[in-house]
Amino acid sequence: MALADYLSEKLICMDLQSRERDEVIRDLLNTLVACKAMPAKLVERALAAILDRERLGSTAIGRGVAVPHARLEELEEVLVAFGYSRAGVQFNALDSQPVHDVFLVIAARGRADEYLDLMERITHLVQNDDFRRFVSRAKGQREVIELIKEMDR
Amino acid sequence: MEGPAEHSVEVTIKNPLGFHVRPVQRFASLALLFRSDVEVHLRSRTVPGKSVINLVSLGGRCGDAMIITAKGEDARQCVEVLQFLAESSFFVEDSIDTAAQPSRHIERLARIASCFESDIKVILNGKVADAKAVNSLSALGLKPTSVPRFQIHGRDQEQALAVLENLVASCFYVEDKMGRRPRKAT
Repeated sequence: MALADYLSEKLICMDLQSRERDEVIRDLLNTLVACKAMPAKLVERALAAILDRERLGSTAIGRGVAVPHARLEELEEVLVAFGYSRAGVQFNALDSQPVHDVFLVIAARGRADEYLDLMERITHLVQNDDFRRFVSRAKGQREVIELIKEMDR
Repeated sequence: MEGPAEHSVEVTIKNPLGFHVRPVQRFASLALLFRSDVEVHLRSRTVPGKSVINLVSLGGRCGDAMIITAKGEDARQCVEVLQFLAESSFFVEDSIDTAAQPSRHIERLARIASCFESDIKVILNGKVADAKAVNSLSALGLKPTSVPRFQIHGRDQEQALAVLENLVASCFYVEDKMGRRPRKAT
C-alpha cells in the first residue's frame, strides 16, 4: 500500500503547537479520533503504548524526523497521522536535533510485513531533502498529500 | 603503509518483526561509539551503519542476511560487538523467554567486554570483578539497574568504556527496566 493510501488531508497537522513530545503524540492521536479512524476510548491506551515504546529507545530517526509507534490489540488495521512542527519537538534523538516531521503509526498486531513496508516507505521519503523542505513550505494539507503521492517511491 | 583495518561479518536477522526501528536504533547507537566507518549491506543495497534513517530504509525482514563491515582502527571490536547484538536479536525482548534468562544482563556485559583487548574490571559496592568472566560478575551481585564503575586499561580502553557505559545507561537493555532509572553511569 502506498503511504498516501493511509493519509487524508484531515490526518495531517500542519502546525503542531506543543514542543513537548508527549503532547504532540496526544495531538496526533486526537487527530485520528477526529477523523473517526480510531475510537476516543483508545487514546489513553494508545498513548501509554507509544510512550512505553519510547522508553525502550527514541523513535527519532534523524534529520528531524520521528516515527512514534505502537501495536494495539484492539485495532484491525494500520493507522497513520502526520504532523509538522515549525518550532521543533524534543524527541531525544541520537543526533540530538529537534524533530519537525512526525509520522505516528498505530498498527494492529499480526501486520508485521505491512508495518515494515510502511516504515520503509516513510524512511525512503524523509531521506529526500526536498520532501522535508517542501513540507516546511507547504500551504496546506492538500499540498502535503500531493507531495507524498509524488515522492513515495 | 598499511590501510585501515577492515572486518566484515554476515549475520541473519532473527527478529520476527525484522530490522525495524528498535533494533536499528540499538545498532546505530552502538556503532556510533566506534571510530571506524560502518556499513551494512542487505539485499543489494549498502548504507551507512551509524544512520538510523538509512538502516530502517533497508527494510530488513526476518531471515534476511546482512553483512556488517567496519573500516578503521577499532574495526574488529566494532564488528564483534555488532555481531553479538544482531545474534542476540538486537536485545529486543518481545520474542525472548526472559524468565529463562534472569542473568542476561551479566551475560551481555561479559560477552561485550570480551570483544575488547583491554583489561576490564567492574567495581560495585567496593567489590571488584573481571568483566569478561560471568562467574566473577555473578559474585558481584550486579542487577540490571546497578550502576557499576569500570577500570579499563589497554589500547581500546576509550571505546570499551563508551560501549560499557552505554550498556549501563540502558539497564543492559533489559527492557522492563529501561527508562525507569534516571541516573547515569559514573
